[in-house]
Amino acid sequence: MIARAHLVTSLAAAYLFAAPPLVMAQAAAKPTRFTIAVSGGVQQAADEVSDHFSFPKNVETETVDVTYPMKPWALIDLAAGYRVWKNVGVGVAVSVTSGKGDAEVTASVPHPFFFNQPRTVTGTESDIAHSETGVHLQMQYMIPATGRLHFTLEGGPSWLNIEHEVVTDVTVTESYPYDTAAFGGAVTKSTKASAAGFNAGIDVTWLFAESVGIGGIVRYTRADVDLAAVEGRSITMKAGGLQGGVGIRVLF
Amino acid sequence: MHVRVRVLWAIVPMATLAVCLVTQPIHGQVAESVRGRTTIRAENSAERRAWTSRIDSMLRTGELRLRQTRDDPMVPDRTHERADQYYRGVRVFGADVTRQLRGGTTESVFGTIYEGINLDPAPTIDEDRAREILATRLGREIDDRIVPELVVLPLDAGGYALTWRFRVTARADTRQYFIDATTGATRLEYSDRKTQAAVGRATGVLGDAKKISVRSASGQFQARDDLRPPTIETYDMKGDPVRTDNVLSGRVNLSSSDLGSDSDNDWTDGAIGDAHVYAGYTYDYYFKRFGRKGLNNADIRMQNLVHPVRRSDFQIYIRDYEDYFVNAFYDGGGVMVYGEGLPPNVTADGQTWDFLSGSLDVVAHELSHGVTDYTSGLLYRNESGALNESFSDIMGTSVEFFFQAAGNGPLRAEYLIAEDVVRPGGLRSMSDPGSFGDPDHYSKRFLGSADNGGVHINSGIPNQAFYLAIESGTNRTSGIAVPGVGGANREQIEKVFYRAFTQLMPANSTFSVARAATIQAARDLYGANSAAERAVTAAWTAVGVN
Repeated sequence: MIARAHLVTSLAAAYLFAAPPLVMAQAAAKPTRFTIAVSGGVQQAADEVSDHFSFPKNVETETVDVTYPMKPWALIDLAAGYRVWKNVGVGVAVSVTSGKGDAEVTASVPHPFFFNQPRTVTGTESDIAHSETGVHLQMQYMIPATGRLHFTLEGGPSWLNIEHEVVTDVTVTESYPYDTAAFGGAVTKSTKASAAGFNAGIDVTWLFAESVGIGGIVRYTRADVDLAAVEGRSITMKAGGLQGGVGIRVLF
Repeated sequence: MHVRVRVLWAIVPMATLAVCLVTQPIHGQVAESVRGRTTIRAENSAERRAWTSRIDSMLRTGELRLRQTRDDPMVPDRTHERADQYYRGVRVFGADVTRQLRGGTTESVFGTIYEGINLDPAPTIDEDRAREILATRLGREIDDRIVPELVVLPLDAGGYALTWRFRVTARADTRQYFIDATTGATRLEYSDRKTQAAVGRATGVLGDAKKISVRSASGQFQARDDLRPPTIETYDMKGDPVRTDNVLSGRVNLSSSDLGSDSDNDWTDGAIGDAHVYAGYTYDYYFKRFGRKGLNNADIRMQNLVHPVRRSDFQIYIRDYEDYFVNAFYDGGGVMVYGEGLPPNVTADGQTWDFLSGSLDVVAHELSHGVTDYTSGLLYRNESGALNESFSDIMGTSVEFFFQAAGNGPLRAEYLIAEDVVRPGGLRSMSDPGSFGDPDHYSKRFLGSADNGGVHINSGIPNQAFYLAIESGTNRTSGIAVPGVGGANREQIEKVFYRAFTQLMPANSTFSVARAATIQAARDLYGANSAAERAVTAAWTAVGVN
């Protein structure tokens, strides 16, 4: 996580230092007051999430380990900005990602007849739904435009909400004499939670008309969200990640 | 509603407040995690009024239909209504409302209703097609008398499905199936049988902990094993020898109320726990070692009877019911009876007697008589009777070695019979029959008429042969040394004796026939001149049987 944040920060800093000569070499474009951005893209996969839980079974303890491998999710991002003073503005963006992935499940299931003879079952529960909604409040610094290009550095607090299907139990198929068992499926529960985090990013816009253009956004946002799987047990999941998207920009 | 609010919020944050204001719930409505479900719990007059109005409205529109109206048998002037929720003429599964009326005024309202249902109530798949789909899935016909019901099924994950609900009873279970009336998929199934197999903890006669497979029924646990293929039941005769006699003679039938029971599934009656668990172990042994399905190889029910008397009634009953104190026996038809043992201050031949079911080899011994009954039918007298007893000793000991670590002392596998409950020493020895006064050689066989011609005495001879064929050693009488297959290969000799005794030997076998049959079995299983054949041949020779 530190490496990613560092990358974004470095990119932004490099641009800041590189930008002034361009600005000085070209005539400044007409300043705009409002910006509206609609982007589609992808959010980088978050770190794999692991879960471990146990519960009484057959007079012993059944343990379940679940990993939720994360993959890049499709992203829709809506943003609006308002220049307050000189090159400084405020903005708000809403990003929505969703998709489905797999959960890798390993369980140690106690034998129904004998102590200390657990059966290990492994399996994959597919179509685990995952969605994130982020609301990003931003302070913006609009780098003086160079012709048709507009750059905006932005950052601030975020509010990230995750809705994720969590494995709460494992069903096994077994038959007498029960010395082996097979993964039958997972019982899942949709759960959601929110947490405050941060965002930092850059938006680049190229105007092909006076007020309309195309643009790209690169943003890093992050929050640690505790998802309540069952009463008394929660899973900490990292919400957000590196987001990238392209779309339409309206400046006026 | 919840999803809608979230999406709206994502696009137009300020819309959230407006939506929440519009959908303000009635007081007494409990928010639920399952989308669309409303739990009604009207707890004050304002809530009751609000829900009464709502329910009356739903009754008028047909969203609720009265299923039952009953006068209160306990409180005068009260009436109870029960109404089911319907969606466009189709019952919503699990959605109903109960209303208590007092002189026409609502006294209480409880219920669950579902909102936001939006589906076409006309099934794409008709009843017959749904029946075919389920029959294909289950691999058998669905009886025409089972009439499915078209219901709206609220889904655990949210949303609804129009389904055909079947309730199908089979030997093993009664299950509810919900077949999607549009896609044919099984949307939900679950067991509807109000009893359930459960696993508990039992403390045995010797204080050892073990798992016990029982049934959960009516708030208690009963000693009925539903996890193994045969039904295994353990009955508590509660110290009533007369009733036990009547049960064994068929004059009285046992019922589920006679089953051993426990309130918290932590079984502390060692006699019941051990009889039940060890019967299961014995079934397991026969299945895993030989592929045999119980006593009759067709999963006949196994019934254990324990506590036929009470130790405290020793003085009263010992004369007439000695077997119920110091014996265990197979009564035929899968029924075993386990003696109660003796009071702590009473000994027999210097030995104390604990609950007979507390010894694994005793339980396996008795059940093996059942196997003999359903196979060779060895006549219970003279040499065939001794072979009958010997086979039970052999299997009882083999079960011990299968489940217990080898060694001396309680809960250890060795070649003594009943040593865990008849202390010290047990009742017989396979390694040294002479130590109990039993013959270890054919030349010393008992020729009298007592004990059915010495069935518990002369069993020492084949017992010794079995022991030597596994463990090696020298017969004390003949001085002949036997090269056994070794404890690591004991499975070979167990299979040889099982094969001979259950498949090859006739009912009136002699020791000589047993010798020939076991040698034949060794050749069948392991080849001519195999180590098993050599061991078995040498063992019979050592005990003087040719």
